[in-house]
Amino acid sequence: MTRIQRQYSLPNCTLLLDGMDDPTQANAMDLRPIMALLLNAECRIGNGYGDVGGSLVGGREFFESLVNSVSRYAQEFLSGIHLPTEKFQLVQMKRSGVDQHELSYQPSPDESNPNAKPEKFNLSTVQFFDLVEAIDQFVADTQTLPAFSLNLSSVAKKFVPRAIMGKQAVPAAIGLSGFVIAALALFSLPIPTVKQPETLRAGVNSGLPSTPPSPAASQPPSPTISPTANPTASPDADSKKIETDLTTPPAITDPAEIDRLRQQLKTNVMDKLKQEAKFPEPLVYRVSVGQDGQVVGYKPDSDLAEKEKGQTPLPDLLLNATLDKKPEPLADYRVIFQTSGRVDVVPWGAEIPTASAPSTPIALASPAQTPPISPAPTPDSKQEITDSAALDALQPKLYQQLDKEWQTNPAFNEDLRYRVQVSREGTIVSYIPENSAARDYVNEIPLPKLSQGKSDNPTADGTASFKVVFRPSGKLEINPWFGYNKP
Amino acid sequence: MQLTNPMVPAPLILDSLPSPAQPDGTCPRRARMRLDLLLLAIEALDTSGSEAILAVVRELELDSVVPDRVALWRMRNTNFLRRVTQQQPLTLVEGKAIVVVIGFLARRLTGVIRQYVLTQQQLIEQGKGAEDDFYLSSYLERFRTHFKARMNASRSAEMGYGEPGAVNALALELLSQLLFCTGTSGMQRLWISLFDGEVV
Repeated sequence: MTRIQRQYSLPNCTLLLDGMDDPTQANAMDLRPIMALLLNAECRIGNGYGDVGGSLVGGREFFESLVNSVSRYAQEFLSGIHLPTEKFQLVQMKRSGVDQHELSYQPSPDESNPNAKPEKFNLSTVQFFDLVEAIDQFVADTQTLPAFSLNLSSVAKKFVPRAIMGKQAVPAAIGLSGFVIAALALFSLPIPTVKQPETLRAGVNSGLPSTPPSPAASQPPSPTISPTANPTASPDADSKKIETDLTTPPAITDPAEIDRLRQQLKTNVMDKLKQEAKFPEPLVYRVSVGQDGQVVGYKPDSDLAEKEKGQTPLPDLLLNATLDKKPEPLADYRVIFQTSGRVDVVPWGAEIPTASAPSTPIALASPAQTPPISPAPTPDSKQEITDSAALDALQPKLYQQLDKEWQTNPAFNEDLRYRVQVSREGTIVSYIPENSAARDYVNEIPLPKLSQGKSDNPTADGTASFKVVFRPSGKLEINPWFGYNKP
Repeated sequence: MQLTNPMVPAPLILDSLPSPAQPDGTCPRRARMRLDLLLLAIEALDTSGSEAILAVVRELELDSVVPDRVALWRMRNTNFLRRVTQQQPLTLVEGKAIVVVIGFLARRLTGVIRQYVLTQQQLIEQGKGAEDDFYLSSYLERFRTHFKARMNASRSAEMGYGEPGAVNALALELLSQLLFCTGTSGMQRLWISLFDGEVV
């Protein structure tokens, strides 16, 4: 066996390795035999001017630990992400300042000196780099301990503290939250049922398109007019039914017509509403009305509404549609039976006057996914507070309430505009989202929390309307809805 | 692009970098940002940096990955801090090519980089700021100018690079990272560190 010394010199660091070759593979002609066994290792830290600042000496265990810890810390230095070490390392490195890196060596206590104190060096970035480079040169040297490798690997996600990832993930989370909201809204959409027309099976009217249109898309499923299969119907009747299915009724879009039908529906409901009818909480129904003002279908918006429908006049008002009835244009309304006995009727899509989101009415139908939207205020039925003094007093109150509760960082990137009604005492009675983002991000802002349970209290004193804008920058803007002087 | 064509083999020089376990085969967001910023630091160190990048691409025969200036521009714009960001991903092969280019250019600039890092350290010891050294402050100024011209202000502010002081700190941090890229295993170390906290 021959003793071999290897040296890796950098301006600030010298690595001295002392070992033996492998006699079984030794070749006398080899000028640079392979060092197979490490006996002793020394790491000299210099200050760049030839002076030796200090040195660490140890055996193989020390050297392995030195290579692992320095290599690991170099990666931490580059990526800024710390990997917690599972097992104790003789040599440790950590950052000790802006440009300072602490290298410490704790010799094994079972060696000759039981009370060995850890040796510590503060390395500058350049000294640290030279140490890394000396190690890299050693690893790259195939003639010295060839079994040694760096084993570089990236830190797994699970070792990264949430705080660091949180910082990085804020912009990603903004995008993700939008996706989640969309997913929740879409989750409540009914799965379209593809029903094969029976006439196709009977072999009649083969010229008809093979894929039946899904009426659910444009017409709300109502228990009475949903086309149910009639097993006894003749092929002739069936073809008529398909005709009705194909010509899906157009929605009523004329605003004047919608308003006229709304009034009519409200009158009908109020006429038939039993005086003693009491509701434990506001019941919401989606009601479809034909052009003649007849209720052709209704759909409870919650389990409670389904249970309590007997208390409402809706079943009485329902028109018993016949199968051969021609489809007629329908208008959908949100009918809300308040606990106070009041009945509010608003067009179904009224929350979003802009036609930007045509599928929203269905999405709104599930209160489990989106927070309940407070009933739309009907300014004509209540006294509107418009005097400047009262508005001046209410505005800061409203601002304080919202500002105090709104502590989260805005996850939206669009202004959220609401019309908020406030009682004379300053409590928030109700609110209406004015744009689609306002509806989507209603969970982000404190309005649902602050108006909870107050929406159905009769406000005899009247309410004041404010326009409240939550800006993505975190700014909150409040202005009187009608300005300071009502026109 | 040729990259999407699996028939064109990736240049051999990229084989020195292992492919990390990225399920989608693309470079993560933070990695894209760091690669672009390291190139920006090189441009601030070497005034002919942007031409040098393309020259090195040709020298290393990475043309199949980075065929032209536009391709390089597109790859660098996958950095989300950029004014004009690219929705297209940066593939692992493209990421490797940039790492190799950075390593190569850093090695050429070893003398300057080492000198600047030493100066910075001496200034700290003397209780002075980086602005007190002529060369170092010119580097910082060039970096700030590049950064301001190419990065989106609000996104940069979000990442904490809103103030000139923070951009200076970033420039110095990138400088010492470039020092490590000059080493024997510098490219491998840089490449592996890009995926810290990203692999499963």
